[in-house]
Amino acid sequence: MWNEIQHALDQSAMRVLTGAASILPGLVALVVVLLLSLAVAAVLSMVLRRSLGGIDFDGKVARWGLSGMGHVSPANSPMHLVIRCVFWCVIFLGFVVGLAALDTPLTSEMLRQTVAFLPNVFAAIALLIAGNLLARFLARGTLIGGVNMNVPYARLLSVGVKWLVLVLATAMALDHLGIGGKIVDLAFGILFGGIVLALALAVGLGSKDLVSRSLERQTSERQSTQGMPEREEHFRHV
Amino acid sequence: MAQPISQQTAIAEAQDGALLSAVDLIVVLPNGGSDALLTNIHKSVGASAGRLLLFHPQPGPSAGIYGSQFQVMPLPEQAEASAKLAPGQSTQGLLPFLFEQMRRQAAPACVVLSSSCNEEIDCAAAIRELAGPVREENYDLALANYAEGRFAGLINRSLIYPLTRALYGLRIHYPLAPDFAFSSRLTESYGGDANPPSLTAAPAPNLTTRALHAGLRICQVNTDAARDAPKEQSDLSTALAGILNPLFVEMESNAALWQRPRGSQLVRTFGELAPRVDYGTAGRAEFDISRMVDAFARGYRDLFEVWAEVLSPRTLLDLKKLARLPLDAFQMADETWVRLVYEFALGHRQRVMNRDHLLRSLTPLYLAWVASHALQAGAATEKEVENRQERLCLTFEASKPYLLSRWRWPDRFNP
Repeated sequence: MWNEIQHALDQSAMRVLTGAASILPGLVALVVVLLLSLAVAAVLSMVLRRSLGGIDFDGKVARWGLSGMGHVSPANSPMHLVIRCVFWCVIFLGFVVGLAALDTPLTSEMLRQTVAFLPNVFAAIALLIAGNLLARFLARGTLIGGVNMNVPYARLLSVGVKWLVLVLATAMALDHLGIGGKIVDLAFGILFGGIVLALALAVGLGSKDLVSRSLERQTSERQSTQGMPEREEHFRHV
Repeated sequence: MAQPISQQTAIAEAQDGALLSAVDLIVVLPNGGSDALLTNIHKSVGASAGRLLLFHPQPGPSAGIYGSQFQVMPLPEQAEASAKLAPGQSTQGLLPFLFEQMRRQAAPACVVLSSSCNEEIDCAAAIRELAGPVREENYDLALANYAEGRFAGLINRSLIYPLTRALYGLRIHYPLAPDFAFSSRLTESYGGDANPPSLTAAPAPNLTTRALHAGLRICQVNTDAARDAPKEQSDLSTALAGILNPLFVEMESNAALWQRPRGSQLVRTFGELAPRVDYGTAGRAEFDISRMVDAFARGYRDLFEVWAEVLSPRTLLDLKKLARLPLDAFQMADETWVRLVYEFALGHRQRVMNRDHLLRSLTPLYLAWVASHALQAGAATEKEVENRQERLCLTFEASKPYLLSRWRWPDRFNP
């Protein structure tokens, strides 16, 4: 009886050890590949830092009209953003190669799905970056235009525009990634529709007095200036 | 006036270069004029100038040849439309057409008179006076000098004149004057047939900086003509951006030209300046600057982050102090104004943000300058206003080393 139990335990331990021994080379290969990719990433980062710094990459990006890139970059430098992206791409590539070395059905399937999903990830990242740049551009344009047109709530308007674009970009990115499924569409529809409805209600109900006061002020100003020259006509700018 | 040939025939023949193939003077009236004015020009200018080709918008006097020395042609719609824009843009839009005509007609001189002509203003005399230095004194560019009131042409007074003077070292009061005459040498300096400026291309160098770049002779002509406001009314920020963008673009392309001059020299000026068209001296109460000060205060509150990207901490501190001043004591120092103009030029060059956004964000600051100017000039005599203008120009000149330093070493620490 005891012998049978011992035999079963030996076989079980043997199976575990055999399994571990069969995975071990793959694990070692994964670690080696990761270390190698770390070294390659470090070398690439150094080369990029020197070459991009040499050609004044940050200045060139600004001259291409992408000065907004600086705001979303580490240390306000698009060069650092590029270097960091390349660094992590190399590390990720090393990890994928390392996983392939394990050569188990699970890792093979994971690898296949990851590679198939990569284009969506890149597209989502591109959408987020473009959305961020567009949001900043439109927000600043709205703010400056609003201030120059004496709009009392120019800043609020600008923030509203910025977040609308950001929410739209995020919803598009999530949709592209297939995260959330219809919930994202639904949430976006509710959020967007809610904002528009809130604005309509604010103007229609909440700001009724404000709008009427504003209209009254405009009317009274028009009446008070009738028959007398506009004071600012004294000033001719052009 | 003699009977003209038909308009269609005249247009067709002129396009073929058949009529008056070698004219002595081209005159362009972008804002038109009456039959009486044309007769006057024919008599008083044509007699001394020789063969005269005049371009006129439609509807206007019939196109055709009047006598053997005078031809009237319609101004193309594109050139006519561009002439209605703000100073600088209007000239820029006209240039391709003018150059083409100068080359086609082998004309030695051309006069553009954009100011409106009426009974009080002798436009024929203005054309004669502008053409004189180019035709008789071998000048290549004659720019009109106006007798404007203290509150007219404020963008020119605060920005264009002092900036151009400090950069290029010449006291040209209206560098973007819409009334001017130029020689065929200036046309040739643009590169002849091979490279005419295009209407659709990036801003072409204006005539003044082009003449300076080519080492040509520039003069001013005092004129009775009154500069009109642009026909195409645009809001202030659009006008500011439209005028400043070409100026700043030229600073970039002409860096080697403007970095050398120090101080400024007088430019030869022909003719007598008429008495200034002015509102007279007035108390502060007559000028409502509160809206302009409010616009600045709103700009300071909402655009501070935008300005912080382009202005130095020192300038921002000055603006902070300015925003706290009461209305009666509101005064933007010349040094602050000059520094911020230079810093906007630097920001434009370095593209710290979209250029249109950058230039439009200057509007509240410009209004602060106008409010300060109104408070100072409102009760001042004409002489005092001139002195103030001179002080501003001298401040621009004195601060030029700051611009140069930051232009050459943009990454250096600027407190």
